[in-house]
Amino acid sequence: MNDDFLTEHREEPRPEFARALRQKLRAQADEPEAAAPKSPWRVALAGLATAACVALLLAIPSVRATAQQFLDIFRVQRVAAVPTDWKRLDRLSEAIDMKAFLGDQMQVLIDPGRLQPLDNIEAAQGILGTTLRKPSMAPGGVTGPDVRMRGEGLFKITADMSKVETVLDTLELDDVAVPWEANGAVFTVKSSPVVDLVYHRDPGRCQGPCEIVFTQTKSPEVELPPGVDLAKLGEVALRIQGLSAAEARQFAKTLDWSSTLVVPVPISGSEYREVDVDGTKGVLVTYSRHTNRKGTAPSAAASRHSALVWTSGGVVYRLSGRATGRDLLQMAGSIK
Amino acid sequence: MTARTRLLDRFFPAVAEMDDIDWDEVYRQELPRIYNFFRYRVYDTATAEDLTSITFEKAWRGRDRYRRDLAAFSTWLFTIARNVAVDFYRRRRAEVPLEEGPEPASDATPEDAAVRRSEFLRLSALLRELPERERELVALKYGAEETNRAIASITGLSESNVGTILHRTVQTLRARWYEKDPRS
Repeated sequence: MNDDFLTEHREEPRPEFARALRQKLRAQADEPEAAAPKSPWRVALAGLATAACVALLLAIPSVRATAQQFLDIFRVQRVAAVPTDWKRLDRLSEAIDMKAFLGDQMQVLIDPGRLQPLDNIEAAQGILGTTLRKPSMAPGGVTGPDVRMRGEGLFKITADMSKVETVLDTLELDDVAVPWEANGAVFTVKSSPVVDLVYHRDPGRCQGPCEIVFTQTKSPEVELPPGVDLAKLGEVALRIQGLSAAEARQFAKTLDWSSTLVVPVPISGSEYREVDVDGTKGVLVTYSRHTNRKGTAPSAAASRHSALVWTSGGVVYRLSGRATGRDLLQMAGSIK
Repeated sequence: MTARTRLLDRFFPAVAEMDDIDWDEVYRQELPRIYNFFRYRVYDTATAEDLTSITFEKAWRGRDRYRRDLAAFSTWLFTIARNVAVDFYRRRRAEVPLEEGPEPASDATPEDAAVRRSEFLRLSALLRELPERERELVALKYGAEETNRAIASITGLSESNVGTILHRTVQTLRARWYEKDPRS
């Protein structure tokens, strides 16, 4: 079918226009971070999490009963992918002023601060509080690693089920019951120091930033009051994330909410699978990079962005960056 | 970045992953597509530039959302562009005549530029006769060079439906185009 009469009228934007707009966007990018708009999705997730103890708490996990009578402590023992409909959360953040909605549900007791560069791996060893591990092989053309770390954090979250009700109403999830029994429950989340080993790929292989990052941190710990029905909260969270009632019920029943790190995966534009890694099971997610104007990816290296998440020995590991899933699995297999 | 968002970064690692967007590359690649999408929607260069600016500024302000849907960046950007177009028409309630826009940039001779301009005016007139949905699909397909699959994601139509509608629309347009321009 000859479409020339339709296609031949395309034109490049005027260079003056393209330059002026680029400068305008750059000027906005240079504005101080404090003046930058809040991240809608993060705020949305934070709202959900703090309001319902849903997203956040269910993203963490791991539980073990302690000698204490009044607290359970959660630690990560495994990871699982959960398909997530980001459009639904977009809809939520468009409908609700999440900044106001969030209120002071989350109290930062210890601010972990920003990621800070370290001089060498040895310096990171003492900070991590456990044996620092490092891949012994990496894809061709990789240099590094640079080392960076973030300190520990401590957060207190108070569940407000009226907020959950608002969320469910906004998403028109009429068939989901609000878990009022968890209302007012106070959760304490302790996050351990994080160390990143940053490997740089040959810039010629990528468009833009070209890194592979190996992150390691001891499992976060969550203290929560006894009697909280995590499976029930989990089912609510899964509905909010976009699963159908049947899917959420099934998933909530099969998942061990007490020890599973939930990795949200976009329902479109990504592939994920369970993989064997480091003697355990992990989740490998491969995101399809946006295609170019001809509808094809520029190259495999430029178009692939993958993440591999697993936990072992009480430590959560993540390998991620501009690489194929195969690259990451090979790197993970060489970690010592 | 607040402590809250850093906390979420840690607990939603797959999401935090999507933080390394090459905006320069995105801009270089997507600017002509967005711009031509609007040209095929509003038929006016100046207005297309304005709406393109609005789209990119909205995208930039909401860039954190991009992280959550890296794979569908183009879909996300065009969703913004669609909404910008809807807002534009809601405000204007009328289309801006192409004659009001500036001359399109071109290295062509004045005569060639005049011919191109005349041809685009004629195409614009044909496009105006289409129903709104068909006009949008044509703009996405031939202005933005989107695939049928991408258009399906952007519009919520099925891919086969997009293909069927476009096929029928292009047949109609071609018949009218050749009918009005026997040279072709």
